[in-house]
Amino acid sequence: MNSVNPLKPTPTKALLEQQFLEIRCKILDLAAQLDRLQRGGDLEAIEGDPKWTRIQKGITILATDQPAKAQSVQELFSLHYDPDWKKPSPRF
Amino acid sequence: MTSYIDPHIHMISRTTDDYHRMARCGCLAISEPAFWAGFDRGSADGFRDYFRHLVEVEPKRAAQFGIQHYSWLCINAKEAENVSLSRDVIAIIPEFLDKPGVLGIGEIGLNKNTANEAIVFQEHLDLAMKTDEMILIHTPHLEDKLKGTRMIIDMLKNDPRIKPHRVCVDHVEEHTVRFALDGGFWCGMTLYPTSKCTPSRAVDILEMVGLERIMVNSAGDWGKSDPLAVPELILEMRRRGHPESAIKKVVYENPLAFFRQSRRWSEPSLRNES
Ligand SMILES: [Zn+2]
Repeated sequence: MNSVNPLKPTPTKALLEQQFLEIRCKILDLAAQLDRLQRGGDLEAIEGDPKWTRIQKGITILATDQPAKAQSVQELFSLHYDPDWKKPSPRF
Repeated sequence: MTSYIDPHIHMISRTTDDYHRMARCGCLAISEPAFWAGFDRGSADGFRDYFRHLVEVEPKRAAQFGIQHYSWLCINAKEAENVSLSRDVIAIIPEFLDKPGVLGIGEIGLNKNTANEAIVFQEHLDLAMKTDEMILIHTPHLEDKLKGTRMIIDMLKNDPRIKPHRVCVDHVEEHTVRFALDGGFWCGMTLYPTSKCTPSRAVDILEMVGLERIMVNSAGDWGKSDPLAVPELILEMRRRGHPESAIKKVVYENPLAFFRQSRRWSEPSLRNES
């Protein structure tokens, strides 16, 4: 961007203290949601379902050290873009 | 209390109590883009009545609480699938363009990224360029967003008449914000439960991309949404220890700088200049 960003991220250690319970809660929520899918009794029925495949890939992204994990998860859940799509022409 | 502007909220779908609560939280002005009414309208006359509502009724309702009301006119992307209806609606927009408080054409954009939506988007651009209007853009949600945002930016760049600093690309998120900013456009982040951006993620994005040409809004509408989402972002920035000057820039100075480019902007009762 064209000017210095005045927003300094909170230091990691302080963030961990602040957000530990929140992150724990979100992991627990996700774990319970996955349990629920399993309790439905038929995980095989969703094997190969693109929604399930993307959920599994999304969980893998969370476990990496790469930066911009939120952006990667967004991209994972996005449709393919074709730069050569047929654009309408401006009428001058 | 920090004064703020909500640059994208659909007050037609909110109660008068919401105006009251927003004013109590520091809201000084809002802009309301034309959008979907929760059902597809049957005729262009339905839009004529809707535009009257936007330019005549809502400003009076807002004024009771000292809030300045501005608006944007168009046929939204969802109803733009019907090209002939869209052309009829585009033809009546000029009747309203000189009404006080109309900032420009919006929120135009794509919904399901169809060919018809793209045709109607371009025809709105043609109108905006002919009448020298500013433009507010809706980008699609969820899995359609990345593709739709890129298609929209393709069309904007394909049209040499477009001045990026007079265009706001709204509803940006982590994966689309840089396309808008790198193109020289303004952008908006919409704070909305579940399907869009949360206040925390919006502050993360600000930490990543900075404070230039970026605004936040609640998009309060018919869905489960929070007309006080901008004050939530203010609280989140404060919780993280970000300076008051940065908060004021995002929630007040930036929307003001963008709006001031409109010919019909007037700010007699804005009282945040201290
Ligand atoms: Zn909207």
